[in-house]
Amino acid sequence: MMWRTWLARLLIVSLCLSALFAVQALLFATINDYVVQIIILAGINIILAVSLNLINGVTGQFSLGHAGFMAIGAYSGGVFSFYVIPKFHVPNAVQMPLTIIVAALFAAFAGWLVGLPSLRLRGDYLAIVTLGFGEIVRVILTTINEVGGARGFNGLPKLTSFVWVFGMVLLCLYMMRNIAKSALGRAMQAVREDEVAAEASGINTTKTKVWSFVISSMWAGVAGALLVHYNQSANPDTFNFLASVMVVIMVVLGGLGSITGAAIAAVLLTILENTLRSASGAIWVATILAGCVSFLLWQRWRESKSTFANSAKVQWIGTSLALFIGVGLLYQFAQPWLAINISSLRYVIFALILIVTMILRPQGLMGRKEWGLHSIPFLNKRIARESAEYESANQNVEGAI
Amino acid sequence: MEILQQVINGLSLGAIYALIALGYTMVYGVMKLINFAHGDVYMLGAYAGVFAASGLGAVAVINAGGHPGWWIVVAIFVIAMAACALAGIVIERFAYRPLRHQPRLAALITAIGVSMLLEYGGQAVFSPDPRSFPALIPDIALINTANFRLSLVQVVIVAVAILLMIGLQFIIMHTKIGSAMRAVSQDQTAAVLMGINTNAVIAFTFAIGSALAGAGGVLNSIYTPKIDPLMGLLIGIKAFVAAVLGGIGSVPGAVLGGLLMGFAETGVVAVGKSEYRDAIAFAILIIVLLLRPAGILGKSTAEKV
Repeated sequence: MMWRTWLARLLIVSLCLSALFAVQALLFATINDYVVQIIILAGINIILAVSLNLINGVTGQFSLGHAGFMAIGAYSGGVFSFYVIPKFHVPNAVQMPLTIIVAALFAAFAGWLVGLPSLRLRGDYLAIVTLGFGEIVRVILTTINEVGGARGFNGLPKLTSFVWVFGMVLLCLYMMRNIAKSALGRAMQAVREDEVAAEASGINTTKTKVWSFVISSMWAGVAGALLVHYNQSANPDTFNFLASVMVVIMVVLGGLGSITGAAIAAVLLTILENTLRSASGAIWVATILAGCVSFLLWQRWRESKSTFANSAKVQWIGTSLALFIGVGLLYQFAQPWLAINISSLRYVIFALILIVTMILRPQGLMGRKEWGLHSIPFLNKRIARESAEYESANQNVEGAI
Repeated sequence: MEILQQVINGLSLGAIYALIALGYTMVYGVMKLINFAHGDVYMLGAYAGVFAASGLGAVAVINAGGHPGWWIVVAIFVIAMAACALAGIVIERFAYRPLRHQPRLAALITAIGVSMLLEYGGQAVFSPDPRSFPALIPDIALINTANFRLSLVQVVIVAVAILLMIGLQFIIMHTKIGSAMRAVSQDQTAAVLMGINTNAVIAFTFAIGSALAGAGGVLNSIYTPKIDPLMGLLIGIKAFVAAVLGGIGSVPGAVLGGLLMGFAETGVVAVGKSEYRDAIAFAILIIVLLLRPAGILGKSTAEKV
């Protein structure tokens, strides 16, 4: 049986790779560069969101320094490709894999360093420490002249391609899915649910949390390396607090703890961010979001059995209506003396998404549900049968012992 | 004299940090929430000060080279503090109160969202370009020797900060609402059972803390007269570090932590490492949390199962 599973895996990997190459060929032939860029950014954001989900969603810790790990991966990968590759004449074929591995190792090491001391801290304190870590990384990077300092690290080779980004996305998703089903993943979930109880049941909570940080920051580093070798430059300001918050928004919107949720939210927010660059796009987005919010409020209204007058929801709806009218009036009459700035409006919209999600739908888009092959009814039967066989086999082994 | 100059600079910076840190520590005391948006309320205070100054005609007088008179300056202070108090109440009512009974992380995430909303909302409404803040207090040197300068602004900052802190101490220790605040921070459920309206107490705490931040915003803008919508982010984090350093939840701790932060920062600048002046705050934070997570004046509590 063993060789058959391995053969199947090999087949799947080669199928995925050839599919990626095919899509890449198609993309270059048909779609313009701007769309390709958005697709690549979406891929990088998927890696970031899914990896942060491991800390914030699965392990239940709270990291606000994802951009810091990303910066470490970006700069260590950048130093490797800029200084080491030309010096040792590294062959073309292994340039990208080696850069990614270097970035992953450095970022993982940073994750270990941050993970160790922060284990003494819980919840909000951990958030602040990771925030501080990210800012320290940024400040230090601006003072190193060998990597360009505050001007940015320019002239990196263009190593990132569509196939690399989405190959990494698939690998990351696969790894996260397997972690979720492994003993380590179960331990992480136990830590999330109740740390004291997990410890009492014999789970090494320290080890579990450190692993969560190491794996997550490793992937953040990979995403950073992919990003800077796509842009061919790195700037410390790319990896600021706002960048970390954007990843948090993706994870929260997708549903803390859901891999597919994080991935979907990453794609949605990347598209949003780019649509919101123009005023007409912003109006469309605002309309759609207003629709979503009113739907959620309406749902809440129907759930609540309370009387009209003392219902908090009525206040909510009233306020949102008032806000809309107020903003509209402001926009109409205040424009001569207030310079409305469209490009900051998109961050206002992201902030509103975060707040509204937390208040009206704290479980996000997906809750803790996952979409996968098992969501397809036809495949579901087969997978269910196979896993039943697997479990009964396991029970036999246990019985024999 | 060089050292004395640094002490004076550190004291005036530390007084501002202390004013903002008080808001963090009070809100944390009653709600166990890190109010991420507090630094942005400070920003709102600075903008309220600018608008009040131009509304009361002070800007025109200052631009003409005169001084609007001290009553106008006091009025600008009061308007900025009132505007911030109102902002604090609104934020608490609509962002934090719906999440009062949710896990603490939910409120923290919302707080980050509110902070982002105020920052970029501020950019959208006030424009992202920095503005200059009117010199409400004339730049007069009280003592001016070769290497030592004590300005009127620095004296006013420290004096106003001390005055506000005495007022806060009075409210917390000697008024009915103050003892209600202390009761809520000790045990919220028990406070409810004693007939305390926790919603009102929490709203009041937000109002007081935000008003202090607003005063800090005006004071700091007089000291360094450039304001922009993102100015609250960094100073808010530094003030939070000050609160943690002194022991979060402890009012004297916030003042002590604020002063220490002010001295640490001026010290870093004085030894010529000014590029690290923002990193020092985080370094202090990490060291404090590792060595003494409860802070200098805080009490460490054991976790109960």
